[in-house]
Amino acid sequence: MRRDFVKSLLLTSLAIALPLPALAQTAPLNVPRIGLDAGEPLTRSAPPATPFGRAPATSKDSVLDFHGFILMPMNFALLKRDAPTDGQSSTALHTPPLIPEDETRFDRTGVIPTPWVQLNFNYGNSVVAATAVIVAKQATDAAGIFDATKQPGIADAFVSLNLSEKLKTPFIIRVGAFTGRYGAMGEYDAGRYGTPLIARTSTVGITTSVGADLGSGFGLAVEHGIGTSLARPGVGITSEGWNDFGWTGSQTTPGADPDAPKGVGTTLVNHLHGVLGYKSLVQVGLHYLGAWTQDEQVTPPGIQDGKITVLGADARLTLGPGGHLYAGVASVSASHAGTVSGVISLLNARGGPELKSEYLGAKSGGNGGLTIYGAQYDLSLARALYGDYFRGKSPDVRLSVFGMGVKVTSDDPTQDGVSKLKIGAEATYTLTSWFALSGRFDHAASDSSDPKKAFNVFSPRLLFHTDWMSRDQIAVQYSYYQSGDGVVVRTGFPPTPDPQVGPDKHVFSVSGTYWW
Amino acid sequence: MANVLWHPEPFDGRGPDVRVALAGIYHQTVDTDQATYRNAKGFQFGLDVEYRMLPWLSATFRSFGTYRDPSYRPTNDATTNPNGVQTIGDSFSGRYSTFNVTPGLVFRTDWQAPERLEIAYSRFFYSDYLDSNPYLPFDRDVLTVGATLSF
Repeated sequence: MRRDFVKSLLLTSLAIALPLPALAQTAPLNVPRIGLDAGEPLTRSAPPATPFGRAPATSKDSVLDFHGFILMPMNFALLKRDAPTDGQSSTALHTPPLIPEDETRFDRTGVIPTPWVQLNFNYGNSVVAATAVIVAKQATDAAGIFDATKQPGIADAFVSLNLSEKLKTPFIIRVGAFTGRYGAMGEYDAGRYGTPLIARTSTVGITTSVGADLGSGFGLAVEHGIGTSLARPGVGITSEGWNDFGWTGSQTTPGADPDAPKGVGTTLVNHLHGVLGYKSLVQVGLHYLGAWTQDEQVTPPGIQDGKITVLGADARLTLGPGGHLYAGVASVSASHAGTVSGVISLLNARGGPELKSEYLGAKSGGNGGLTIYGAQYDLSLARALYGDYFRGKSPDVRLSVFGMGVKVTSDDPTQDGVSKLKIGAEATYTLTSWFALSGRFDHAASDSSDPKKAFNVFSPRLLFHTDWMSRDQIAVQYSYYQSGDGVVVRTGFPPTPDPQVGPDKHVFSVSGTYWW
Repeated sequence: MANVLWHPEPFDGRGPDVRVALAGIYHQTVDTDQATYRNAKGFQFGLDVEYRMLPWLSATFRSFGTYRDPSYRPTNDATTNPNGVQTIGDSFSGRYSTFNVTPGLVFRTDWQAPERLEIAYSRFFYSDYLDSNPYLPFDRDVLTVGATLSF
């Protein structure tokens, strides 16, 4: 069963939302997987990790297929008041917790679940299909304060054309708006950190994926894409909450970026990926992404056009009883990147402005580079001991070790040479069909040379399911944050570093997850 | 065209064809108390030609245009129009004219497939009155890639 999962997943990666009647019935092809499929959730999958959005039932006629993912947690932190006055409790509550887990910062561990609702609608047949993906990061009834940017609506919308049967080799064209994620550290998801290691594209454009069975168990997958954004912030627009503080660099915005005085410009991203695989065991990939802007409306004379280039390599071992190992490295080069928009994201930092604010520094001029590296190893002890006799319907211990690091080079002397590192380990003991014990440890350092800027997180949790391989989960989690004196949380709107506020220590989370 | 050429045999759409759509609107102000609008006239046109040459390929040509003369652009200056009427806050300006030509290619999976993948290049033309800001001129060359699926 598991090998069938893997093989069909390989084919699914080249045929998202498309039934594969012909391919499923012919001899299986050894074509590896490139990145995450356009419709897969970015959030980590709840254990036991199973592929999301299995290929719809094969059909020559057009059918409607519906997949989704719901993760809706209650998170709150407890802390002691220093000097409660009359009428005040000695214990204070925070929701959301004040912890260093902002999405764009490197030291985000992702251990505290955040809301994610995704609905994938696919309509089509084995040749052509339309996909619309609706996403929400907030539920209105429980919002507390409505944030329109957390309910983006239709996140992706694209048409897929599968010419694999006609061309006798996997060949898919996608046209529309969708995201490409490269460097997925998990076997079926983006990994424990929920972050693509190499890069992420968020564009409207065209992507062509081609596969070839090279024989003797070898397969090759090549993907090329080019895209841009539907629009860009208008020159003069004020950076506000409704536009997600788009770092437009408007002259009316305090602290406007002198390197990009008119904000981000029209940005294109061109990317090429190649993955060579051997059966379902080994995959080695090379990745190139180039994002650039040449928009005279934001780069008047004297301001250089911006560019971000990424070269990456990764390897994946799917060893069956031996577990799953991923390792990757990427080299990022930024040149006057302040005008490069969020069509490209690096470690969740969108475009040049966030690359500067999170890594290169305000005085970098958008010039510098990152060396990114990461690895994740997942192992099922039951599978290691019993091999294919283990069907996932009996007790198991799943282990995972993971880590990610960045070395920064920058024209900003305060950031040049900074190394960032985060590592972690997780163990899950599934005792019965409905109950599992889990624990996770994380260590994150925004500057490896300064221990005060590091923190540890200890997270025991209880997991409840309806069955061994069910797609539902209720998790009760406690996380203890042990933070150095230099760890700063972000408060306010927009969130900005606030040294006056210490990070919360005790965080509780109760979440329900279901995917189909 | 195939419907015409195949007559009296019915054409089921599963063969080469040339499809032509042509539309136009003419307008003229026949009566108004505002002198600047007197005799204002204009038209809009649209042409859509598709040569369905293969089950999976079509060549397309589209052209759309708008013409209005005279076209009114308000200002805060005092002006005198050709009818000798002096107004403040009105401007009697020039000819608003724009049209484009758009050749393209369409890819699909069959003659009557509900999906289309289109690549098109558009060249826009503007009158001087319309494209009058030399510091922020309109774009003239546009490339489009898109796909549709109707169901």
